[in-house]
Amino acid sequence: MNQPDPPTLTPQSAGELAGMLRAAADAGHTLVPWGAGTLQHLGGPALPEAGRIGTRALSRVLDYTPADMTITVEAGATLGEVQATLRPHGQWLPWDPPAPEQATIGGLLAAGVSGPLRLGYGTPRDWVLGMRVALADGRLVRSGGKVVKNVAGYDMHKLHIGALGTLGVIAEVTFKIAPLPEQVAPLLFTCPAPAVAFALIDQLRARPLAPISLIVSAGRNDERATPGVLLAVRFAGGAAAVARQVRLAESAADQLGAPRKELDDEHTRALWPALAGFAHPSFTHRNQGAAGALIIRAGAPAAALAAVVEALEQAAPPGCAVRVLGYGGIGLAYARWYLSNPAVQPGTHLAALRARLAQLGGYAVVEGSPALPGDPIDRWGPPPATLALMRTLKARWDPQGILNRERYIGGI
Amino acid sequence: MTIESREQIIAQLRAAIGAPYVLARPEELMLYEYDASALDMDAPEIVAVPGSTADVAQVVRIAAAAGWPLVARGAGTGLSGGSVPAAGGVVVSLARLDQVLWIDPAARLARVQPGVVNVDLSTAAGPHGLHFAPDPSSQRSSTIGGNAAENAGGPHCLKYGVTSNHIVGATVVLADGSVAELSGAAADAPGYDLLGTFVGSEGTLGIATELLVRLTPNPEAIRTFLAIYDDLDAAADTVSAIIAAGIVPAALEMLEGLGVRLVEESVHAGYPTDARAVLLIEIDGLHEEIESQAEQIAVICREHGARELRAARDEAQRQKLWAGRKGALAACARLKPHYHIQDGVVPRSRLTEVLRFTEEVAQRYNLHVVNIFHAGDGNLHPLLVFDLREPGVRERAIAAGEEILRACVAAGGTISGEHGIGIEKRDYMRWIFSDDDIAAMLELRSAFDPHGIMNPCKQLPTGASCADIKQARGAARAMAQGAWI
Ligand SMILES: Cc1cc2nc3c(=O)[nH]c(=O)nc-3n(C[C@H](O)[C@H](O)[C@H](O)COP(=O)(O)OP(=O)(O)OC[C@H]3O[C@@H](n4cnc5c(N)ncnc54)[C@H](O)[C@@H]3O)c2cc1C
Ligand SMILES: Cc1cc2nc3c(=O)[nH]c(=O)nc-3n(C[C@H](O)[C@H](O)[C@H](O)COP(=O)(O)OP(=O)(O)OC[C@H]3O[C@@H](n4cnc5c(N)ncnc54)[C@H](O)[C@@H]3O)c2cc1C
Repeated sequence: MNQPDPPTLTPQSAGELAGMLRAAADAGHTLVPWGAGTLQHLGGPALPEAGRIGTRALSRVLDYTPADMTITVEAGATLGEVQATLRPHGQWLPWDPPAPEQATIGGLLAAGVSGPLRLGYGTPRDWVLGMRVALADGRLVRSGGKVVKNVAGYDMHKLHIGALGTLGVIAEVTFKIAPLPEQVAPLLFTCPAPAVAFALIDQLRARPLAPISLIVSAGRNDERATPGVLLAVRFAGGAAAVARQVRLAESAADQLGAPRKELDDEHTRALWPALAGFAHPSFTHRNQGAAGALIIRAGAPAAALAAVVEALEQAAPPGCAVRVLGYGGIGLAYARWYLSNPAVQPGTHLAALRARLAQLGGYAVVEGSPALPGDPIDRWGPPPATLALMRTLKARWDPQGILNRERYIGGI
Repeated sequence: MTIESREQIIAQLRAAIGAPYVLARPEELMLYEYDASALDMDAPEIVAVPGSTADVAQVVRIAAAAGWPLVARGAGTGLSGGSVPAAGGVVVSLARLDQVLWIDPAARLARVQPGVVNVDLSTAAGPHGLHFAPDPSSQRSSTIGGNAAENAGGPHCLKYGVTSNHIVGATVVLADGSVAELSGAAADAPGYDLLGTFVGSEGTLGIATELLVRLTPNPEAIRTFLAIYDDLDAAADTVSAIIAAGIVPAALEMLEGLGVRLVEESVHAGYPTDARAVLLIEIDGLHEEIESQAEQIAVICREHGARELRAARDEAQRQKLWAGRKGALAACARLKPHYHIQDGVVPRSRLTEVLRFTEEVAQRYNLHVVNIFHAGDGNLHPLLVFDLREPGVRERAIAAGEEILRACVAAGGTISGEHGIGIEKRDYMRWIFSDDDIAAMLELRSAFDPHGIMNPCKQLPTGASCADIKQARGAARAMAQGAWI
């Protein structure tokens, strides 16, 4: 999406993919695994000399028996293609990352992105049963299996989820899948203050309520957005159970003074993809500053979400517009700092943000940034204490460092 | 390992963690020779019972310095020989680390020590309306540490997922004695998912000394049914039909043939002794959902040939139905004193075919087979029942089990759904993984443990070295045992 250039290498099969990696390793060429390119902004910039190895031609559904509720697909299939295969059988992968129609399964997993559905359904990590991965030296290795339970061997596939393709190129994935819910009901509440939204989140998580998404949208200096704080909620399940949850949610919101906001069908449809795509660079906002947006992902224990959202608003450079989406019940938040003034250098603000988040047991990662003169952004912040172990692992599977060199945490 | 070095290590361990917590007398060590699989046995040289993470780290450092192997041990209920010290060395019992450190009801998290017994965590979380979802049938004795190491399952994994989905972080002592925090409460922290691969690693990547676990809200409503069948296909078809209707039951268990009678005779759970098969079906959720799903399930069971459908009227009846299922293994002891339980998984659509095959195999080897298992997951537990005093029966049971597992693999399945590979299935790993796959796993293992001291000779086939150890130790043990008597 970001960069139009076609991949330089386009293997037509997993075997060919592995062979190309071996050849690159032999020749000492560095490579960027490339799905649809929608998430290449994550991590550090690719080395200028790095070639691309594209997976898009590996897009077959290899195995799908609806009664077994598992599906095996090649990594270059888009999530949209997979959902289209499942839908006629009343099934889906409960996963709503940004750009689902374009993004490939392999790229989405490598990027470790989830989406607002994760409150109700967990992350893709919980749905992956097995993988086939091409390691940098050309070995094609399998872990996990094709059945819903399996404890044979290490869950090596979990290591590739979120590793940005630094440990291998995902070739094939088996997922456990879910039945489509009978009904999904979206609701939107306008809260006069963040505290109200967070109080409402707590109430909406109390039994018997079981929302599948709870997304709070807050901001600073964001004059074009609806005043106040919005809380977007979804319930799913059987019609009667959903109806009771909607009633209970409305009455809880009423008592807190957070009126329900009606959206017409068109806006309702647009809302959830927009929430899912909020952290994506292609997401355009009416407040887009002159210099563009710094996109930050912050994580912390779920109970600290209110403080995380506040920190993301407060730590931003003075005067710049800020919009934050917080994942209620998860402890994850995305912020966009709209840098109106190209002269503003956000580095010190980022450091202050990280210091605050560290007190909360959290961290912040920069997922996207405008090209800024003279302020190299520290994307990752302080590395975890296990970095040495991660390096050792990387050295085992990619000793020459040919895959996405220097793009991951600690320069791995 | 010379006597002197053993004495030296004992002295170092006693100085480090306190003399009462280092066991070395033969009669003390004998208790640590086996787990619940009973087909593999081997004694440790020393058992250490540390009382803290720092203690565990010291024990590991002392053993590592001497190049001695270490084997973590929870409750020893494992069914694949995981906590059997196949290469001797030090068994690290986590029995003293048995505290629930805290429960945060709002965050639905608990921090526990590894020796906490599974059911005790749910009991502690109960007042907050929460429970720990993974519920192996051994939940009254197995530990959270052992559950995490085996990635244990249980009846409710159909809806709620296996242990891996409920472990959020772990404090782990690595092979060099360093202490590492793997993941934690902050969502999506950057870095490789070391925790994801630690869970299910059967004690080969390190020793967990604390676990951060997810707690699950107790459902508003639960309904439990017993569906009774005169025909095996009818029962299996019902399993598929329920899932095809888009219902994900909390649990969907099958007891078949002989098993139904044995369970009923020992537990008196109200199972009909003449049934060919019964399904134990549990649904949970909101009242409305339960109502409509209960109606659907009744229709599906009837349409697919159930002779009768009984619903538990109250909690006492429900507990009774579950007591039948959870007591099944013990109940089979009424038939013959020993068992060899397999743990293959097949795609749900292949269930009946593989079930029939287990019967055919049992007949051929002149053994009894009882099938009591997680039907919704396609996770079979063919239980081969025998009396070890019968000459040659052990070998027959192992050979029969092997044939059954091969059939599971041929049907597109795998050799273990929840009990782990351990010693028992280590050499079967090649049926499902290539040399490259296994080499990659060994590389992963060596990244954590370059000298191979953490639970060696388990989980992965490692070529000749473990066979040599086995032989050498067998000879040494024969002598040692003679000496002890
Ligand atoms: C909580 C929330 C956040 C959204 N954020 C964005 C965004 O940043 N950029 C984007 O392109 N689309 C955003 N959308 C989606 C947007 O509503 C749809 O994409 C719509 O098609 C855009 O049309 P519009 O510009 O005419 O919006 P409008 O018709 O002006 O707005 C639609 C509704 O969404 C609300 N809304 C729009 N943007 C935001 C925002 N940033 N924060 C809070 N509320 C907002 C409005 O107040 C209104 O209630 C958001 C929607 C909601 C409800
Ligand atoms: C009657 C019966 C029913 C059973 N039902 C089920 C079932 O339904 N589902 C299921 O999955 N299993 C079941 N099991 C198997 C067994 O209970 C599980 O594998 C359990 O998780 C083992 O826990 P444990 O505490 O007994 O561990 P142990 O047997 O002591 O150890 C098992 C493995 O874990 C390692 N280990 C233990 N503690 C740690 C630690 N702190 N850090 C690192 N490694 C560690 C050991 O080294 C060993 O490899 C059953 C067993 C029995 C006897």
